[in-house]
Amino acid sequence: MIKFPKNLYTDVRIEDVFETRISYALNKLEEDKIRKYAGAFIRIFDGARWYYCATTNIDGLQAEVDSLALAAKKNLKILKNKTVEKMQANVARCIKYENNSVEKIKSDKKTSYLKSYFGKLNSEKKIKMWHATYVDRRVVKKFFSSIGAKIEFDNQKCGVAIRFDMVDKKKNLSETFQVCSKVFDGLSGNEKKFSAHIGKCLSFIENSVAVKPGRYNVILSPIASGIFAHESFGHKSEADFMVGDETMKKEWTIGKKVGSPILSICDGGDHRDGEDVPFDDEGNIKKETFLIKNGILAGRLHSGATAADLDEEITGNARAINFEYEPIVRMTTTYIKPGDISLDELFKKVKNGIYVEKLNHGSGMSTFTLAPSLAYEIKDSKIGKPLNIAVITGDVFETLNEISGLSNELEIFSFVGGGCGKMAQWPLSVAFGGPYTFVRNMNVQ
Amino acid sequence: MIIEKYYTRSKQSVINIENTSVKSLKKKDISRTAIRAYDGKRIGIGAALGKCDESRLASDAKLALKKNIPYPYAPSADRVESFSYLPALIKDENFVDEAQDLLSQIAKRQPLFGFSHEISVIESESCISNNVGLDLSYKNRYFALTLLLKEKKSSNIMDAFVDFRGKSYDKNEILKEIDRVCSAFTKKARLEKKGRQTVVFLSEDGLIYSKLISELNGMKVGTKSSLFADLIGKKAFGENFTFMQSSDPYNDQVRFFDAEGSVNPDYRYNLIENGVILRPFTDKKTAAEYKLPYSASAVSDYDSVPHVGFFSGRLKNSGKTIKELLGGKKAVLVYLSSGGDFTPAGDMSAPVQLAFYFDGTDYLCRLPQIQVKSNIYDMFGKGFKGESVDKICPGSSCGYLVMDMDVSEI
Repeated sequence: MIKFPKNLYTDVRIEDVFETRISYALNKLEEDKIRKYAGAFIRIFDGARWYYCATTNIDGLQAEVDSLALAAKKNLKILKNKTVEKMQANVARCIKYENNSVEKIKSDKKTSYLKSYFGKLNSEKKIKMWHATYVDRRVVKKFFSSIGAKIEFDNQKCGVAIRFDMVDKKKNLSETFQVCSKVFDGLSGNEKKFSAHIGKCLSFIENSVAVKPGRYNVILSPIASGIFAHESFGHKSEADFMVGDETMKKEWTIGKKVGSPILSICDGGDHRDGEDVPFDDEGNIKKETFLIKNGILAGRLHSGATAADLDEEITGNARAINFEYEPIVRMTTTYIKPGDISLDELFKKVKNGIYVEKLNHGSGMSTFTLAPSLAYEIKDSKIGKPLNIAVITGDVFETLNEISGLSNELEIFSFVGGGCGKMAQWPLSVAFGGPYTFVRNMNVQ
Repeated sequence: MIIEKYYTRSKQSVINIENTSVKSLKKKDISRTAIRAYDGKRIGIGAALGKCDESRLASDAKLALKKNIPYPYAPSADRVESFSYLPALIKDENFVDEAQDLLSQIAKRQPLFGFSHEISVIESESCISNNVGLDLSYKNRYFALTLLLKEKKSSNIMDAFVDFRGKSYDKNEILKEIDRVCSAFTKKARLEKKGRQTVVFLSEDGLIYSKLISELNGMKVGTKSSLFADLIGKKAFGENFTFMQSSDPYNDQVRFFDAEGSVNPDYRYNLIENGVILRPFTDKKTAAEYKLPYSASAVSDYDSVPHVGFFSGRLKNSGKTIKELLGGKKAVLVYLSSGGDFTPAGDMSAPVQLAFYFDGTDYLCRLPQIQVKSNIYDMFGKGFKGESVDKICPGSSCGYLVMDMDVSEI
């Protein structure tokens, strides 16, 4: 039990991590490792500054806390500090994956599952190189604070990430395929999806032509919609960029119109395929937060410090990529709420345009970018020939107002490879998704 | 059996900045140890974070041989070399005060801007040694500053940045560079000419080399899945374009050995020379499997099997200053570009969130958001002018890269 220093706010986050990584390239085993470790992140706040320490010395946490406290200034009124007042003192145990932990699955079974994808990879002659990796990770977090928080919770993910390179005559295509589940048994049944994806990539490389740059009406697939929501607006909803900035506070007043009236974007929520974040890394309960509701700015994402500065409610979005980092305001599962028309009806709205099925990456500042890996022309409201596109760009707010149709399904995607980057913290596991989204007048290059 | 120790340590003091003030101080000191066992056919690894019992890791490594991870290559041997550069930068006990003083001066000089992000002193250590005479060690301490700038009246998350990574801490140079960026930022101008023109990039811009590095991967070349697969030994780029893997600790602030404990002569290895693609980069496995020249290009996590990867590169310098490269004319400087990419065929397009007109000395004025477009063969071929010999400021490792490209307003 840690003895917290008096007249300071202190919290300690301990992470017990189990990870597996099994990797093959062109049928040859490249990696087969299990990583088990524990690390801790300590934070002390004196009302003016934070003092942080990351350590693997779990047995010496008391000494680390005492040493860190020496740098801080004692503050008799620390409990009255606005940030400390915002912090929740939750006491809870929320262990979901003890019985179906990936740690209990034998390595042979994981390898065997990974190998179930090799047949398809080996049978296609145009696939010249491939890497296939099985990954799992279970983290048990314990969180204690000087205001009484005492929490234990876990999260878990497992899956397969496949990268492959196809060559057809003089044309090349690098593509990926991922499956992700919270439990190992949830991974089965994706082989057909993989075969379909390979088929799509073969057709793409054989038939793709360079896009004629210009302005197009675009339909984004659910995964592309999710990346668009995350990059274009999600990052702008992270309240840390507003702290102490009066211009931004005025610019981002709740209630302001920021998008098309059919557009609603949320972060959080209980989705089967979403991020599992019952508590954030400050020990606060994660809430579902509307960022945009019917085109109107409805909320933003907070840590304790940003909620205090803006005098808003905490949302449980303070997250760190691992024990070496401090929690900062991050997204969890960000998605566009579905609309009320079928996919067929949505395509009927676009006589000629572009359908973006899959993206390599996206980014978002005042101008957002989407880099499609698989995109197609839309001709007479039907999907036509595949197109090579470097980037799609646009002004965020102009584009949010150009959203003109949303299909009635919602798909959420999680991943075992990559993640979201912010400042020095990359990759953070996030999920995103949405319906099929029709956006007018996008700049395609 | 060959037993090898691979050790890394990262010690950091990081000051986080919010609203041009010190928000937090972080201390981190994390070590990672791996013991690798080689039996001539296979590799096994035992590893741990923090303090550890190396004999237990050695037992784990021997046990891990049973996983049958192939490694029929000779581990590196018979080389003893160390590099240590630990300059006195800012004393630990003065770090917060020094940072606050710097920030106070910045706030006074640039009252129209707010500054955030971090200032760090980073010490990194890496060693690899084995029982066949390999003993390589690298220790480096450097100063790093990344400040995100935001005009106070702006509604962007950030408007610009200033980035330093150097062997010294020179407050005056930092202040001068911030003044240069802020001064140009407040002077708005129009893009005078659309279409093909001279464009300057900061040499550490990640997008510029991303396609080149991806297609020079030995495994992609070996499996004929690289764009360059049929171009090895052929001239694909300009006569003035020479690209090398460089792990020169004296110039590049990078470890001089790769993850397999290999060192290139003079720490360099040319991959493209005078426009000719000589060879891809390879680790031991890739070189052996595809019968390619070996370039000592293995990367790995502390506990991973080494695999092929590119860890540090540079161009052969043009020998000219940026002013000479621009020939007395002004050019578009791509200062902040996020989200660009290449198509599989090598066509490149990137939005530029912040661009200046630049005359080789001063950033003259800020341009509206633009888009730059080119193709990999043109960027480093007909359009390529060279990398400047001078850096953005003394102490920085970042220079300027000049090429002709298509420019348009977004």
